[in-house]
Formats: sequence, C-alpha cells, structure tokens
Amino acid sequence: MKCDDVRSKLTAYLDGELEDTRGSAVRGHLRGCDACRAMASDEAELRDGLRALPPLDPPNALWSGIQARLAAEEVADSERPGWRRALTRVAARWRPMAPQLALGTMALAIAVLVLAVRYRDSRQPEPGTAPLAGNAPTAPVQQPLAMMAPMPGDVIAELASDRADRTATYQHVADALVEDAMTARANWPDDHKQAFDTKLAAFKAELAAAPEGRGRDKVYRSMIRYLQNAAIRDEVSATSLAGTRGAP
Amino acid sequence: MKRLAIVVVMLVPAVALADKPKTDSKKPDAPEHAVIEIKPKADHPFKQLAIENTLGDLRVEGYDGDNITVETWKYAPDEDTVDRLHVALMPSPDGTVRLVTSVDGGREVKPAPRAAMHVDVLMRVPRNARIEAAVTAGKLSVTNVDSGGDLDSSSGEIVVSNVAGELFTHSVTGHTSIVQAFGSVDAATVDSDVSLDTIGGEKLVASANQGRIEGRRVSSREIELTTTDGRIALEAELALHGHMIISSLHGDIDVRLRSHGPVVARARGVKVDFRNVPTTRQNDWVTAAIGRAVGSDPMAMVELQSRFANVQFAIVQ
Repeated sequence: MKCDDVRSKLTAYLDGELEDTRGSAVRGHLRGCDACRAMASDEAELRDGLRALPPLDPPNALWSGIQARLAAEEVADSERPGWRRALTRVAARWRPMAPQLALGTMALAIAVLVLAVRYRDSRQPEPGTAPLAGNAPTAPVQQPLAMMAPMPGDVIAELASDRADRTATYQHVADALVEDAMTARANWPDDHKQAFDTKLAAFKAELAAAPEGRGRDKVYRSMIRYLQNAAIRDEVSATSLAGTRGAP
Repeated sequence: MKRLAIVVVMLVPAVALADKPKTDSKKPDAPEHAVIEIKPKADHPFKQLAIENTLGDLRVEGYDGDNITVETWKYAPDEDTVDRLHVALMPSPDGTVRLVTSVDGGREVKPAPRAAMHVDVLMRVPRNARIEAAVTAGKLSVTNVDSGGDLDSSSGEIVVSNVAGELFTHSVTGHTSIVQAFGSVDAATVDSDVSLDTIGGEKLVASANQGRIEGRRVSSREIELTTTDGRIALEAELALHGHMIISSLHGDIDVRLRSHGPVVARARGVKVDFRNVPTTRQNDWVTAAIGRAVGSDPMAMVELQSRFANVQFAIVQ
C-alpha cells in the first residue's frame, strides 16, 4: 500500500470501519511509515480533544427565534391564495429534477420547431390562391381548474385567523368604550378631561409599540378596564384596584 | 437536556390502549396516547409551568409530589395527520417547564381543518408550581394548586378550583368559572360570563364587557366588579374595613351583603333600592350607614353604580 492510499483511508481506519484485511494492511503500513503514523496520531488526538469538549446546548433564544420564524412563515403561507400555495408545492416537488426537465424541454422545443416548420410548409398557399383569414376568432385560453380552486381550510390558517379575530374583538370593544367614555367626558371638569386624553394617548402609543398577538391583547385588556371605569364611574386617574395591580 | 439531569422515567406511546381523558368522556378513543414523567434535579424543584395548547383541552392538577406527569391524546382522521401534531416538553435549569403543542404546516402536508384534529393534555404537577397556561378554543382546567397562575383563553372555557396564590384569568368569549380561590383573583372576559364561588383572598377584581358576573360566598377584603352590558349579582361577606366597588354601564346590579361591622354604602342608578335600610339622598347618590363606627376605625365602604340600569342592595343578617 502506498502512502496516498493509506491517508485516504485513515478516517475510516480510525473509525473502525475498514474490513479486517484492509485494516490489517493500513496497520502494517503505519508500522513502517513514520510520516503516515504521525498523521494518524495527530488525527486521533484531534478526535480525542473534540470528544472531551463539554456538550454545547444552543441558547433558548435561538430555538425561540427559529420557532418564531417558522410560525411567521406558516402564517404567511396560510395567507397566500390557494393557487399560489399549489403552484409553490408543484415547483418544490419538481425542483430536484430540474436538470432532466431542462434537457427534456429543450428536446421538446426542437421537436416542436421542426414540426411547426414542416406544418407551415405544408399549409403554404399555392401561388394564385387567397390567403387564410388572419383575424379568425380563437378559443379563450382555459385556466386549469385545479389551479384556480381555493385550498380547503387548514388548521394553520384557522389558528392564524383566530389570533387575528381575537385582537380584532379587543379592538372593537375598546373603540366602543372610547365612544362611551367620550360621552361621559362631556360632563367632566377640565382636569379630568386632560387626564383622560393623556391616558388615552398613552394607551394608543403603547398599542402601536406592542408586538402583535398576546402583547397587543394585554394592552387592550388594560385599556378596556380603564375605559370601563372612565365611562361608568367617571374615574380617570386609573386608581382602581385593577389599575394599582398592573395590567391583568 | 442531559445537563439538566432531568430523568425521563417513563415514555409510553400506545395506540388506542389508553383510558379516555378525564376532561371529556364523549370523545372517541384516541388514536395516539402518550405518558411521560419527569423528575426534577435534586434541590431544584419545578417552580413554574408555561403551557400553551392551541389545539385542544388542557387540564392541570396539582398534587403532593415533585414529579411532573404529562399525558397527551392526539386525535386526527388518519395517521399522516396525527404525525402533524407535536407536543414539546422543555425543562429549563431555572425550574420552569415549558410545554407547547404545535401542528406542522407548510406546503407538503395534507390540509385538515381544526375540527378534525386536536391534542388534549393532562398534567399532574407539584402543588407549589405556578401555572401559566393558554388555550385557544379548548377547555382550560386548573385545580389544586397553591401558587396561583395566569390563565388565558380565546373561546375556550376556563375552570379553576381550589387555588391559592395570585390568580389571573383572561378570556375573550369563553366562560370563566372560579371556585374556591384563596388568594387574590383578577378575572377578565370580553363577551362571556364570570362565575365566582367561595372566593376569599385579599382582592377580587373581575370585569366583563358583554357578560354577567355572578358571585356567591365572596369574602375578599377588596372587591371590584365591572361590566359594560351584563348584570352583576353578588352575595358577599364584607370584612372589617373592606372596600367594594360594583359598577355597570347598562347592567343591573344586585348585591346582598353580610357584614361583620359598620358599613357605609352609596349607590346611584336609574332606580336604586336599598330594601329596608334607611337612606339619604344627595345629588344622584343614595347613601346608607349601617352600624356604628368604633373609635377611629374606618368603616367598610360599598359603592354601587349603574349608569343606565337599576341597583338593588340588601344587608343579610
């Protein structure tokens, strides 16, 4: 065995993956070749060092981030029209066969070209005859039905819709209570009006800054409590029990 | 997870062999059932659970032990769809155990509506662990825990019983029922009712928008109940120096109070009825003083108001 042969098999040898005869040949070469033996020794040491390293767990934030991105992609996917999802699925399925498809398409194109030329030649009017009508109506292009039909509702889309509905419900209730509070506001003294306006503006700013979903829902819940107290009790300083304990 | 020294004691996936979940006996046999039990590392008990099941029911039962047992039932019309459903259990070194159910999406799965698939989860947890739990449309039940929790639902019912510690619940359209709560309670719903029975903590705060609030055997020191459109009916026992604020915009208010000391009650509404208690009227407010203050001790305060409906108040001997 030559040095090149042995070095290409070193990894398998150290992993114990070589058959007995091949392993024996490599071992025999290593006994007599200092350079290859040194290389094998270095690689074995490197492996031992790697094994001795403590296991490294990914930080929690990494997995949370991956989950969040996956969830966002799934939500975005669920919001695409059904025909786009179908098209993407078909494309993904055929992508591995792209080289073969490209060759096949090229061959088909050449064949169609040859046939078209021969067809045109065969339809060439004889000298002295009238040309074919150029504006004859043609049949409309039919879209394939399967591509146009909407995809049946999937649980992912329903869950995303639920989340959106939930936030929309909170928003609707808060808007209605703002109207009720504004009606009550007409009878408040100026300092009450100012305190209410300031608090309402703070809630709106908080809503704009809050992340969609549970973060925004939490702000809406605090806002609804505050607006109820304002509309019913003329309480604008947020000193209710709920207010003193923070947002529910 | 090896570093956490969490010992997985038992993992038993079985097909159609499991008992039906206690949470709902009407469901068909589960196509896939699994049980897992995890032990805490020595001197590092499980302190908190963060659970999110958007795909079905969740029941959490506290018990006098240290381990956590998780039972899951996956329901789906076929095996491919069952394979889309996942339950992830993630213990952390700080004593928090996180459980999340999820469903595969993307382009390669066979679409299935939520009605055709769900995951029910039953957890037995150390009584002292605090519970943070969220469901979407499933029923959320928590019982026998001592460190309270934060419970969230969109349209699913929230049912809590025998809970100590600070408890927060919030729901959009799911009914909330709290029985035997011995810590502070804060229950908020949007378009659903709140039922309270045997509540005895320092504070009780409950609110509903289009929903009723009904309370029985409430003895919290401070009580604040608010609705926009729903009726409020309360049978309470007001502690010495307690404070009660009951308010509604359009809903009737009916409060029956058993008091152990002097009370000052005032109310306003379209029609105010204090039954047999003598009252005085000033502007919109009807006021009554029941019992005599002793020395400089503050009296218990009751404030009832419904802007567009009626108020009834009675002292029960």
